[in-house]
Amino acid sequence: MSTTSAAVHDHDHHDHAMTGWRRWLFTTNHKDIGTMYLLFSLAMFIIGGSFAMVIRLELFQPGLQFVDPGFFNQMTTMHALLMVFGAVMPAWVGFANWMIPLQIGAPDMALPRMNNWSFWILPAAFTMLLSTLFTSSGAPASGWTLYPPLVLQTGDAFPFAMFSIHLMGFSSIMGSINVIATILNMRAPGMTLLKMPVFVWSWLITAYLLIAVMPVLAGAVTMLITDKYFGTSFFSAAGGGDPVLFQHVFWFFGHPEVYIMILPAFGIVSEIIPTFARKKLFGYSAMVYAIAAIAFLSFIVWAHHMFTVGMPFAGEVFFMFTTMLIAVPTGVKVFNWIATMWKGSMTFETPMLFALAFVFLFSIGGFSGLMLAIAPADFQYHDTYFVVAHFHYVLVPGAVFALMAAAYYWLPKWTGNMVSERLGQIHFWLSAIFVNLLFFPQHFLGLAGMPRRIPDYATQFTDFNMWSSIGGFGYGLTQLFFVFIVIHTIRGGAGKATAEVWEGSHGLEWRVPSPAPHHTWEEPPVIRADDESVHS
Amino acid sequence: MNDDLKQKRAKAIRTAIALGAVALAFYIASFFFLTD
Repeated sequence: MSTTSAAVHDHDHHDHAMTGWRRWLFTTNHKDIGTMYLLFSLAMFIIGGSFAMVIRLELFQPGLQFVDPGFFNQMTTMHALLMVFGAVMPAWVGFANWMIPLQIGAPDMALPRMNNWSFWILPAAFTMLLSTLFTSSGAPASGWTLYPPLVLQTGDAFPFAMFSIHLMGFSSIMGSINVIATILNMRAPGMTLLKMPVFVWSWLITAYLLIAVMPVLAGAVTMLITDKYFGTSFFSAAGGGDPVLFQHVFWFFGHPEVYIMILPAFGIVSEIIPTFARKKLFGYSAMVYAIAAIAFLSFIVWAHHMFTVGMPFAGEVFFMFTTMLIAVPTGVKVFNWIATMWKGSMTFETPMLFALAFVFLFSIGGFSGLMLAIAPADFQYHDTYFVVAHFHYVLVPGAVFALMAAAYYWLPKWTGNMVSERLGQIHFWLSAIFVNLLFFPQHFLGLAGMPRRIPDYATQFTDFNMWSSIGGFGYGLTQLFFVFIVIHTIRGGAGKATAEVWEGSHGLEWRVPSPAPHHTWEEPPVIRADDESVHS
Repeated sequence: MNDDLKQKRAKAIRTAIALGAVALAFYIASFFFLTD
């Protein structure tokens, strides 16, 4: 390929002056920073997962066996905060760092020093958050939604948790600014917006969402701090404020946050399915517009999280119908993925298996979301395990399976080694079986009336909880197997990878050697107007 | 760094400043969110 030689420059003679820990602390290289984000995310995934194991252990049987209710609530809160802000979001930022410059033909992110700063804030933030487990009153236990007045009863952990959330926000906002500045300014000549890979498009839109909503979360958290320490009454009815106001502000952030975690998943699945179906993506433009439509709608649905709080009838109807509207662009995407596979020459390597499972299982989460969108029905489902089942289907076989698909898809490009298909397939099938055993019974528990966030339950819920816990332990252990697979791949895996890696791959990242050299695209590739091979 | 890259980075810094201003505006606006 003509661009291959231009992609690679040997800078080893002058560029790697720093070695050891200095290389990682001071790095401005997008690949190094991407690697650090991904490793950090994996660590948080394991720690947050261990908190989930405590939850499932306690819920294995009715009664209180292992932890007291206060600690149980700390576990649910910390599990959520770590998984949302520490695992899923940084993982997508890691993929963005690694892949966006490669995919658009840029030598690095637009603002490399800010990139370094964005990452290194995170370990500080999460060390601070995790340290609250060791305070005398324990970690925050109010749930990740941090509703006042409950959250204001948090003990010594409160200021640490609030400050760490501010730091996470800083990190996300700086990361998003960098992504947008890179995509808008650093593209190779000829890489027009509608030639960009869908993963890049999905991140461009996600970054705009982040810039709009992370400051709103920061505002909500700042107001909590001033209410607790500086005598304000934003959320205190006694002082003329309104605790429901917090819920509005929080969910104005919280609902787009869900899409922040899932839109990059749509992007990567739109890359993987065409590769393994050996066809162009069906309806490329429609896919881009659908992502933009979902992002827009995410701003006008927030109060569906609050139907039971009480709001005017017109408000309930408005938020019910806008929520249901999201099914339209989402349906377009699912249709196009299926249409891409139609009459394709399909093979089922590990990334494709995770991508296909994503399409099917994410849709289950989407359908239960439609059920929850029906305001009168939500009065029954609200705060039950049905909601827990719903959002875990969206986030685990949804977002996390897409992350796994992306990792298997690009690991050969990062490490230069192919992943063992046998190990990958074992990981996939165990994950797919256990994740359904873990979360599907929770639908039935919720419909039968089991509330969420409780350490004990009535005995009629025992069987489904036992199944769910067995699924949880199995799923957790299976992810440790993934860590083994990553190490195995780094140490040689199933042999050397070619530059193209996958037979049906498209895009600039496959025009650089595997492993991708430390510096790429210092001379940008030139993309001809008729070159359609730069996106799937 | 070649001239083309320098130019791109300069534009990127302007983009970043504009986006930072947008983020700040959303932060300030969140304090004025009102319920009935």
